[in-house]
Amino acid sequence: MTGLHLSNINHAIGDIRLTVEAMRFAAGQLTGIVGPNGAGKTSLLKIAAGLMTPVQGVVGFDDGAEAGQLAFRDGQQRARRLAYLPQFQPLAWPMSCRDVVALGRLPYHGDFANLQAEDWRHVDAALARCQVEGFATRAIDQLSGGERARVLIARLIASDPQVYLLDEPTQSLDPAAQLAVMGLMQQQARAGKTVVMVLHDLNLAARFCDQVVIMHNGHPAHMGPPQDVFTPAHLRPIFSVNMASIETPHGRILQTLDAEGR
Amino acid sequence: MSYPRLTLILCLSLGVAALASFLCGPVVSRPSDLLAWLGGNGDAHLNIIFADIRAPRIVLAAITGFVLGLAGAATQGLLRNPLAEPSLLGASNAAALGAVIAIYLGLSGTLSYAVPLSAALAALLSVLLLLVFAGRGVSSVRLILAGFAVSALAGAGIALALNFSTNIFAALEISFWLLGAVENRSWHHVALVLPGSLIGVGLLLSGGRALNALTLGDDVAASLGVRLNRLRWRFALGIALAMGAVVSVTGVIGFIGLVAPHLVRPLVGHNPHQSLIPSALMGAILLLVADSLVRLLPSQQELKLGVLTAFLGVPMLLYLLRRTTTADAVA
Repeated sequence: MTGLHLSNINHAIGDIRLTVEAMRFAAGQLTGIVGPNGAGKTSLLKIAAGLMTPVQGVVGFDDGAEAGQLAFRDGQQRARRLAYLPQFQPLAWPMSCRDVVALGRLPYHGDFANLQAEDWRHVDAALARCQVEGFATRAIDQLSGGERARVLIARLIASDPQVYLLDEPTQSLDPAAQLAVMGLMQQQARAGKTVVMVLHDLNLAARFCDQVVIMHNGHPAHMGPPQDVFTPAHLRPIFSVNMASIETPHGRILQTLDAEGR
Repeated sequence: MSYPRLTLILCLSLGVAALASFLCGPVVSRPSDLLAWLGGNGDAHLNIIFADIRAPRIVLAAITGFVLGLAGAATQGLLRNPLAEPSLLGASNAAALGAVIAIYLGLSGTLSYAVPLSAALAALLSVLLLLVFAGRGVSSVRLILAGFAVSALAGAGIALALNFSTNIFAALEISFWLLGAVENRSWHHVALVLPGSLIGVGLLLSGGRALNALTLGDDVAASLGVRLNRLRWRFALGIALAMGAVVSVTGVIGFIGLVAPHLVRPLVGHNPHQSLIPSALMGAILLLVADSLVRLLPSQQELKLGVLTAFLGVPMLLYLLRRTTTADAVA
């Protein structure tokens, strides 16, 4: 199992300058990236996924400094170790769920080779893991938001990657579906995988993540375990809201009070 | 229906359509005549009609339909748009312009490989122009308008060439050829179409697997190891070579590439990779049937194939346009 590291990243996207001195996503850990809109969360994830090449800086897998970077640069090799889920976007064609999940096996084959029995085992295992095997032959546009989210995650799992990068996978899902998605990714982290998720819901991040990063103006303002990072004093200047941290029998809960300065 | 079964059924249908097409034409022939010819005996006149008139025409129609269906499915997969089709996006007209230029400049007679090459080059330019302008998941309306612009430009170029033509018969011949037909084509024409079609088809089929990944967007495809630029080039070249080859021999036959993928897509679970070969086979069947119809319809002069496919295809386009633009508005 391998983690992922970013160092001395410097990149400009529109008005935002993304600067990250050093960031490590360790194997076996679930990392949440939070921050206000436009803080550079999605760009950071795309750079980590190798989809954007930063003007400066290095991204690589942790195993062997040079080898890890070489493996990262080769698109197909990278795809076998790293799976990426972008923010919600409509699918061009209403493909069946099984065909969508089978895309996860694409990095293992050349242009003409067909999927083998071994690939279909991975596909079916991923469908079962995400509890969507019942929808396998259904067209993906006929599913509910929560079911669809699980099918898309099954696509990642079918790749059998070591690193998962997910951009707001819980967006516009109902609470039960959010918990299902977070639970699935937590399972992967417990199995030793590296999991990084961009999240909007701070409480969800606090509950499931081992490590959280707060992005602010293209820079990681705070990194660490959620109980250390998610304090009203940290959050107020970044999110421009006053927050209360409330102890409950179910753990600490952050509650937005009002916009700062009112 | 499973994919191998669908492919088999389409292959069988293609065979039936081809055999039936042998029996269509002004000279009446019966299945027994066809069997006699295949058996190596039979009436000498009919044998010549079968071997030298109908056979090359049927083979050419099948190749052309195959290419048009495949290019349609490939373009739709690449641009993620059910309305994309080479003739609709101006590639056919551009190829025609390329062919006209080659003929007009006197680079060659109409039976030289310079014509399909020149056609392929012009088609490539049009596809690249379109990819630059409308390549990344743009709205259907914008794509159609961009295609219309390319098509109109190429059309104007052809009109210009015709305008300056000093030989009125040559101009007339070019205008008739532009309407699209496979009549009066010989084995020479088949030989002219084959190289470009084969290379083009190979290029398109080799990139098919990546089309599925594109369904989930450029970023997902790239994250799955697909090299997007290489894929776009491969498809642009494949479409240009194949379209250049068929257009330079058969003229502009539209809408097969729009209709064929639409017919097979529900049968393959909307899987863009598995749509490719069935679309190609369906295109070949459609064109063979259309060409047989053209020969059967009673008329003074034989109806042009491109005219018939347009009459059948335009209602389909309007139906699709109505459906996808409402979907765009909702999404």
